[in-house]
This record gives sequence, C-alpha cells and structure tokens, in this order.
Amino acid sequence: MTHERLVEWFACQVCGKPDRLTPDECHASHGGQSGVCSGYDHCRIREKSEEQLEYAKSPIDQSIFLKACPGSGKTEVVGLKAAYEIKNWSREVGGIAVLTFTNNAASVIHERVCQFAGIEKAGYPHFIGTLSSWLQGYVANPFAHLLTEYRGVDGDRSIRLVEADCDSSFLKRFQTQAYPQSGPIKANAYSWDCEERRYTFHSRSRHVDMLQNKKDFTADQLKELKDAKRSFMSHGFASHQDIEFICHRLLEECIPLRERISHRFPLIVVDECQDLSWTEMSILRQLQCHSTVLHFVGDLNQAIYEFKKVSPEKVGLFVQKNDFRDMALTDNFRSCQGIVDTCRALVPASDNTRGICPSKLRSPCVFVTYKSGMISSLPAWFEQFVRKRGLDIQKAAIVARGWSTIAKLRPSGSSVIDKYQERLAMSIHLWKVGGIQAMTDALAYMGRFISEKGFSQYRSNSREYYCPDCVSSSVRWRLFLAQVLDSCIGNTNIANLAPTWSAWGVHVRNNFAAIVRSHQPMLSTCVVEPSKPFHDLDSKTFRAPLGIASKPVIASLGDTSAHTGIIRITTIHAVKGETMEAIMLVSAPSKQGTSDGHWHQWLGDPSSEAARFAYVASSRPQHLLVWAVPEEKNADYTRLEKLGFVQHTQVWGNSRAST
Amino acid sequence: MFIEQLHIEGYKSFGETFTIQFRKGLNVLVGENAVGKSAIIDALRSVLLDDDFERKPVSDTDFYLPFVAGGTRAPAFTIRCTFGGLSQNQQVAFLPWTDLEGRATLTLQVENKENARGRYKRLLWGGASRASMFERELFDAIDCIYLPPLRDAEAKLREGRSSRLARLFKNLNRQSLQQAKDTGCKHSLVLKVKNLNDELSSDKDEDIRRANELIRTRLLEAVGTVFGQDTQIRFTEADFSRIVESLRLFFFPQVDSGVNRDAFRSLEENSLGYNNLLYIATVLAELTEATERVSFKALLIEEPEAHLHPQFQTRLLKYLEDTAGKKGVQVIVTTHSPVLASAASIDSLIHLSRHKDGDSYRYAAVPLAACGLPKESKLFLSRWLDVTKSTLLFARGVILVEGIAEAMLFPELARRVLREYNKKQKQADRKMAESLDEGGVSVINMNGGYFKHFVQLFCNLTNVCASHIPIYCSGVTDKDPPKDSRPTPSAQIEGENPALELISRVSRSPWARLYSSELKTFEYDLAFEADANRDVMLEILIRLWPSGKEGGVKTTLTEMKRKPSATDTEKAEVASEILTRIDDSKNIGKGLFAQSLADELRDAGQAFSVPRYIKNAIIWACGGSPDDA
Repeated sequence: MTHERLVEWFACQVCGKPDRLTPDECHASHGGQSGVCSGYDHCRIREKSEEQLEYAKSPIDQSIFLKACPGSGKTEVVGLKAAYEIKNWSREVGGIAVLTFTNNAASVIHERVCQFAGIEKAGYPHFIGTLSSWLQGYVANPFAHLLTEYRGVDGDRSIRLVEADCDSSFLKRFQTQAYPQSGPIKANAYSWDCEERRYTFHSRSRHVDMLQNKKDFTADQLKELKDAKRSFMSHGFASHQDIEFICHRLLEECIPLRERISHRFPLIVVDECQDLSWTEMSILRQLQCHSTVLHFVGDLNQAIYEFKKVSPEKVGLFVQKNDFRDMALTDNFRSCQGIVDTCRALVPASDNTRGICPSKLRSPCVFVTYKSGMISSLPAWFEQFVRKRGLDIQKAAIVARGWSTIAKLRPSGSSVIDKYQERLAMSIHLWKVGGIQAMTDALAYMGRFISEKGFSQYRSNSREYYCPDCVSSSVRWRLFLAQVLDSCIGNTNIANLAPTWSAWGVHVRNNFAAIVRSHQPMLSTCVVEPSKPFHDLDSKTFRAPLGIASKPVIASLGDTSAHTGIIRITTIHAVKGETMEAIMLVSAPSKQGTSDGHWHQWLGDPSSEAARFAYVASSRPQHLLVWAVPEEKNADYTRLEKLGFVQHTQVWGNSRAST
Repeated sequence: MFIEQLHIEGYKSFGETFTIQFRKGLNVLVGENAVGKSAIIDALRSVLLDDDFERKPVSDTDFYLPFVAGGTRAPAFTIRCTFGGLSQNQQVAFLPWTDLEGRATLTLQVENKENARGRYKRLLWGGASRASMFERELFDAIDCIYLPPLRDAEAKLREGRSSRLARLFKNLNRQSLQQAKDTGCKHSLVLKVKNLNDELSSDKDEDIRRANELIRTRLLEAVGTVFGQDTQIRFTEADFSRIVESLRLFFFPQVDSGVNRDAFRSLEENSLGYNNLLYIATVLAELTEATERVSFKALLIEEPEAHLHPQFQTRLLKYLEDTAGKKGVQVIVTTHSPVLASAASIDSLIHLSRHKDGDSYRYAAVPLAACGLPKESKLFLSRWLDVTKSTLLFARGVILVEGIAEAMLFPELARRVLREYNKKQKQADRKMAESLDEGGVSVINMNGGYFKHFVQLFCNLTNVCASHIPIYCSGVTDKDPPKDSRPTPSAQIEGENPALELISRVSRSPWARLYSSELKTFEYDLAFEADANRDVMLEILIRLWPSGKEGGVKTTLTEMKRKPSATDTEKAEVASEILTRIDDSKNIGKGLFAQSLADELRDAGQAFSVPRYIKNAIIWACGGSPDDA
C-alpha cells in the first residue's frame, strides 16, 4: 500500500475518520475533540511515515523483529499497533501483552494506546506493563509454589521479594557454611543461571562475587548452595533473579501451564527487546513454541544491560533462529542530522538513518574538557550554555555512566554510599539540604539504617524505604522516618557533620537510639507483632569507618557543595528511551575503576557495551550534544573532532589554558 | 463453572476452618436452626457480591466470637470460594486464579481493624497469591443474586433506584445502550418516551399543556423574569435509567384470559405468595438473560418457601432445579421446609449440623450425595423421603422404627426412659431432655425394615470411602423368630429379620446404633417385660375388642388378666396371645392399639416397664450413653 492509502486506512480504522473527508479535513473538523489529535496541530496518523504504518498494519500471526533506530517514534508506533489490534480484537479469550522494562515506558505506551483506540483503559484481556510485573503477576505469584512448595501465610502465597544485596539477619536461616574468602553465603546472593546451568553470584560485594563466579564448586558445596536456596524459596522468598528462574522452570516443566499462558497471550509485543536476557528470551520462546506470536521492537545498539548478561548478539541470534520477519524504522525524528551522524559513527555500521529534525544550532555536537577537581562545576556551566542557546533547561540533562561520577556532580548521589555509618550521615545531610530528590534519598538511607540496626530479623522492602515486614503500613513507616530525621536535625550534636567520624560517632551512640525510641510508639498501631524498643548503639554496632575516623564526616560524603540547580543529573540507564533538547555526557575523570564510563572506552571497540553507552546517551538530544571529557596530557582530541564534535574552549570562570 | 467448595474461617459462628462442598446446579442446605445455613449464604454474599444494593457490609459481629467469658473476636476472617468445572476458555481467562487442575479460587480476607472511616480492610484476591494479577473484569464476570428470607417482594418490584425490574431492563439493553452511546443517538425507548412527552406538552388541547402554562405564568408573575424559572410537566425525564426505574409490574390472576389490559392490578393488591413468585421470576429472567461475558451465575435464596403453600413450594423447587440444569445457574437455597427437602433430589441435599466441642462448636456440612448411598438405596430414598420422613434432615437425633406402633409409642416410652435416666445422672451437664420433642429427636416410621437404605446416611455400610450425617441415629428392629414361636429369655429362638446382620457393622460407627427386640417383636417384648405391662395391654385389648363379636376372645383375655403369670412359659403364652390379638387387623389393628396404649401411658402414674433395647435406642438417639442407664 502507498503511504496515502495506509494513512487513509488507519484514519478510518483507528480514529473513525469519515470516508468522505481527507485526513487533513478530518483533523480540521474533528481534531480538537478527538483524543488522538487534541493538542496536535496536524493529523496524528498523517504524520506517521510509511514504514511506521507498515508495521502497525503488519500481521499478528507471524513473529516480527522491528529494528528501530533512535528517535524513530518507536513508542508511538507500538502504541498505534496495539491500539489497532485492540480495536479489532475478536478472540474469545486471551489478549495482547505489551511488555516494557520500566514502568515509565509502560505508562507512556498505555497512554498512547488509549489515545489511539479512544478508550479509557487498555485493561483485561490485554496487558501493558513491565516484563517483570507480567511474569510476577501471571506466572510466578500464581504458580511458583508448585515448584518452591511454599505453603503461604493466611492462604496467601505471594512471593516475598528479597534484594540480592540484602543482608538482614533473618537470612541467616538460609545460608551456606562459611567459605574461606567470603564467609557464609546467603541464599539471596546467588541464583541459578538457566543459560550457563550454574550458580552465579550477585551479592553487594563485587569482589566476593567475582571470586565465587570463577570458582568450581565441589559436589558438597553445590548441594549446600542448592539446599540453602531451596529452603529460602520454600519459605516464600525469592530474588528477582530467582523469579526468572522459577518462571523459566515452570514453563519448561509444566506443559498445561505453558499452553494456558500461551492462549491467554496469543500476541506479545516486547519494547526495547535488546534488553532481554537469555532467560527472558527463552521464557518467551517457550510460549512461541506453543502458539504465541512475538513482536520484538528495539535497537540492538542500545543494549546496555550487560550486568544482567544481556547482549545484543544473543537477541540478534534469537530473532534469526526463530523465524522472525525483519522490519525496520530508519527515520530519526528526534535528532538533527549532525547528532544522528555522530551517533552512527559510535557503533557498528547500520542501515542508513535519516535525521528528520531540522538543525537549530550551527554546531550541535560540542565537547569540553574539564580539569580534575573541577568536575563539580560542570552542571552550572552546562546550564548557562543551554540557556544561552535558547534551549529548554527542563528538557536538558547531564548523564554519566556510574554513580561515582554522578556523585561528583550532584549532592544526593547515591550508591557510592555503602557503609552503614555513611548512610546515616548522608541521610541527615540530605534531609538538611531539602528538595524532593534529596529528601527521598534521605528517607531511604534512614529507613535502611534503622531497618538493619533495629529490625534485622525481618525482611524489609527496599521499595518502601526499607519498611520491615513487621510494620504493616508503609505510610506510617515513612512518617516515622521523617520524624526521626526531624529530631536528628533538631539535635545539635548529631546534626553537625563537621566533626570527625570518631567525634560524631560518640554523639550518635549517645543520642540516636533514644531519638528512635521516642518515635517508636507511633508504629505500635501497625506492627504485626510487638517490636522491641530500638536498642542502644555501642562501639560494636556503630563505629567510625575504618581509615577515615579522623576525617570530618562531611568530607567523606563527596563534594556536597556542588551544584544544587534544577538540571537533571542522572545515569545513562535512567534517560534511556527519553527525548531531550540537550544532553551533556560526562566522562569519568579516569579509566580507573570503570570499564565503560571513560571516553576512551566509548571510542574503543564499536561493538562493545561502552560504545553502546555513549550511543544511548548521545542519541537522546534533539539539538545539542555535549561531551565533557577530562583534560589529559597527550590526549588525542582529534578523534572527537572526526566524530563531528567541535571543541568549546571557554568553559567556566577562570579561562582554560589554551590548546 | 460453579462453586465447588467454600472455605470459611473466623467468620460469624465459624471459628475454626469450615468447608462445604457444592455441586453444579441446585444445592439445598438443610438442618436445624443455628447450624450455620445463613452464615454460609452470608459468606458467599460477602465474597461474590459487589453490588450497592446487596453486598453485605462488614460489621464487627461478622468476626467470630467464642462463647466463653472474656472471649475476643477473631483478628480476621477468610472466605475462599473454589470454582470447578471451568471450560478450556475459562481456564485461560481466569489464569492467575487457577491451579494446575484448572480449578479457580477467589479469597476474601477482612481484618478486624477499622480505619478512621469505620471501614474494615478488605483483601480480595484470585488464586494462590495476593500478588498475582487481579483483573477486575474477571470478578465482574461473576453474576450473583441474593434473595433474603424476609423479602419484601413488593418493595423490590416497586419503581425506584433498587427496582429489580429496572435492573432486568438495563441488563437486557446493555448492548443497545452501548450502541446508542457510541453512535450518539438516543435509545429507542428514550425516543418513544420523549415523543410522548413532546406530544403531551405541545398538544394545544391537552390539559397538561394548560396546567404547565398556568404554573409558568404564576411563577413569572411572582418572581419576574430575572429570577424566573421555566417549568415543564411530563411523565419522566427522558433518560434510560429514569424511565426503566419508573416502570411498574401489574398482574392479572389468570394466564391468557384475553382480558382487557386495564383489568390488571398493581402488586399492592396481590397476595404475598404470588408477589414472591413474581419477584423470583423477575430475578431469574435477569440472571438467565444476562449474556455479556458472564462466566458464572449464582442465585442464593434463603428460605424460598416463604409465603408459599406446599404445592407451590414443590413447583418452585422443581423449577429452580430445572433452570439450574438448563441455564447453567448454580442455585443455593437454605430451607426449613420438609416439603422442599422432600421435593429436591437426594443428591442436591446438603445436611448441616453442629456439635459442642469443649467451649466451642464444630460445624459439619455433609452432602447426601457423599454418603456413599448405593444406587438402589438412592432410588429407594428418593421415593420414600416424603414430607414426614424428611424431618430427619432437621432433627438433632433420629430413631428409625419399622411401623406405626413404634412411631406412636416411642414418644411416651421416651418420657419414662429419660426421666429415669436423668434421675440417675449426678452431674447436671449429663442430664438430657425430658422428651423427644424437647431433644429435637424425630421418630421416623419406615413402614418396614428398610434400615440398610436409611442407616447408610448415618454410618458407612459399604466398603467405599464415604461421609455420613453426624447426628445420633438409632434403629429399632424386631427379632422376628417364626410367627408361632414363644421365646423366653432362657429359651431364645433365632430371629429371621434380615436387619439383624447389620447390628454389629452399624455399632462400629460413632453415630449410629441398631437395636433389636430381645425376644420376638415390639408388642411381644413389651408384654413379656413386666406384669404391669401385661395387665395394661390386656385391659386395652379387652376394652377394644368388639363386644358384638361372638367367641371366647374377650373371655380368654379377661381370664389371663385375672391370673398372674408365674413362669416365663406362662408369660410367653400371654405375650403371644396379646400379639396375636393386636395383629388381628380386622378387629383391632396395631395403630389403634398403639394409640390407646399411648393414651394410657400419658398418665405418669400408670406403671409400665420399658424393655432394655428400647431404652438403649432412646438414650442413644438423645445423645446419651446407654451404659449409664
């Protein structure tokens, strides 16, 4: 079909355009009222390209791999496709599942589907949500007990999720004997890898994990690992990795279940399919073998989940082997041609991508160098730089790979904090700083600290500020934490983070437990069993961190004086799938401690994940892409120029040494 | 799809776990009062109904409270429905609710904690886990209607928001209403009413128009144009809901009489019974005509017998049974009516009972279908379980007897046995009722020795695994040696009654016992037991024997009465004579004799001794232990 006829077809089928009107006439007369076009100055169908409409009209009795370049309007197309199928859905049972990797992406797709289909909610029999909630809701929670033999509590066999890095004392019931290098291993810290058919380790200690992952276990040790895991699961616990394993195993072994799920979801559309792990793919494959049709949509060059053992090669191989028909979206509606070209140069050669967006700036790709120690000034500079060019600061972001770089850029950097003492200090510091992001982080740190110190016999829920199982209301828990934090701020000794760790530690030991206890009664109405009063902290349970006892507390919390402006500073993972007007990608100051966060690594092997990180970040902006790289002696900045970057020399206040 | 099992815990009277099995189609819950019939229906309503008008709001009395001083209410209650018979498609649709066998469960859990608004925390989930996907549409695909015991049929059929008639219309028109909404047109019914209204208000000659004009003008005169309002008189707003909510049902007491419609009358003038039937018919129409995506339909009726005479009760039950079968509606009714119970098929009956267990009560639900009745017994019982015999389903204890004589005499004999028994009991809590009535014990006349069919309900005589009704049941049978024999305690003669061989098997059961007369038959053993018995029985015979008759019968009897029996042989001779004369149906007959004897025995001063096997039977059925007598 020609583009015109496709537009005509969809306008009639999806929006209900009257036959006698052209799409433009339809928009002129009905556009304002219809959910599809309201707020748009042109017909929403007419703006779709031929390849977009081709996919939306593609058959659903055949698996399809839709290769979508960055900015190709993938979400919009998935929305249109799902809306079209939902509107014409005639099966007696079963529906479409549109699976994503983030709740955000799911809600965006859901919104599009509702607009296009003119419905309030795309609910039963269809499902739009994350892959993990789908697996948990339709497979793991209803059926895991068949495998784990979990009996449930009060007739409820819901899986109790435990994060892989959780270290609460209730987990002592599910651990192995002590190993020489790592001590006992808790059952949540490892899981069965269905692909490699061995245990893999993902505790919070990278060092231990690497050792364990290399190790060949004896039969006895394997049995021990297996027993601990079995006991863990039979008590209803599971880590995210365990859930994938459970689903995989259930579908592999239980054919009636596989049939039922396959009938329940005859069509599964996976958005961002490049992020599928081997296990997830083989779960989907099991359904495909039965009768489910799979539509994979994504860009293999945007695979940045290697830590989940995701690789674009595996996805590529999977679609090749399993009779997927290839389709492609090659028009980039997001970025101007300059940015498109730069991005394409980062990864292995692919289809010709057209940049449809007109260029606003003469040089859309810019790089700056920063001196070591000056990294924290980058946000303020970038903010000004963006404003000067007339771009929207709300639609700009600063991204980096890894939290340690981010921590240097923003005050509430998370994740570098992995000692309990630092958590308490950071929590108090952030509470003082204020602002939504900081306060949220502060609550999480405080929640984790109190949970680990006072409620360690219970499982805590990391999504609810580490609310322990014995507290039935997460709202109360949050209020409780806020009051504890308020009291901490009110206590001049604890609130002052300027003294050394040893001095501050004394104050914490003398005052903190009493503060918690004074607020504990507010939890009494919602505790499942009477909780013990928070015990005093002593030199065993709270001591100054090794090596830095004589340093000021505030100094070890990172550069807390840094930028507190409005510009978003976050990880590359967090901006995946988003459209920005401007992006600054900040390289780590050195290659030490990172394998993919430094610009040299980004420019190394184009098929490496490091290159893909740079690609994902760089393909976000419409108009302005800035790379901030450390100033290095003998660095070959011409490599950047070859990619299309122009160096910007006037960076901040004290002018840079000339090059 | 139908409810296969209901599991209740901590709800109302059910402290501990209670389960009841249902079957497809009709289920009739029978049993005495306070055995949990209504609580079961309430539990079903709590979990299945989500209707503004019918859903049962949770109150603190819904949480179990043990009958002990200082007892506290249960911290939570759980009600779980297990559905069976899911089609392939239903198994797919209800996926997160199902298990591997394709059964689905729906669980309601309510915590006994009120929030600031006085609401209890309600958790509702399908399948094994609360965290599973809960699709609201699946819950909405359950269509359940509840009819309360004290139903005000007239009010429910009256126009208004909660009108059943309105609901029927809305259900019937769901599709056409959606269509009207989609196309932006008006529903045909709305159009018709609108046209009528327009016509009435525009017709110059109509009084309605004139009346409206009058009101408008007065209003205008009173408040002027600035504050004035416009008015219009019409039948109802032109809105589908309003229209159907104002519809009313009228009746005429005959079918197809060709009578003018004007002769129909409003329901206020109808009889309670007919209004009830109209109400049930409306509800059934609603339930059976609902088409859209409904996977499961249930009708819960408490005491459908209300306001209906026996023939109507039977008709209604047969109709419900039929609808349940043909239209795939699961019907669950509770009843206290032996008429209904006897009209229902044996397989649809579910017997409920409760037993004291320490400080609390244990409840039991036994489907008669699960009692392992062999096919012939089932056929037999279906025919024989008439209105009188059905009372066994509502009794606390049962005495099965072979004939009219026992049925008439046992209540009187029991008075004596129980009085004597209670005298001997030193502890007050071991004392029993003073009479069978008081103890809720029914004497069921089987009109023959059909123990093997009946007794299977109370104990398992077969080799297959089966349930039984957990109430005390004793059977009393005659030993029946040859007709002309005259056995004595020292010279017993082998009985020929086939029931005798059941005795040892029955006595292994915890609930049933079978007792046989020690010598020969009921009357023989009564007469043999003591001189006082012999004398009063002879006296009645003499009195009843037709005086006009020739022959020496009356003389012989008078002779016997005058001379006390010295030896067992003499006693046997007299007993045999008494039996022969009672059996002589031409002249007296068992029924008449038993009735006369019962009259004599009503006088407590009348000396009479009750044979041991009868004492045992009475004490057992009343829940005592015969050894204590």
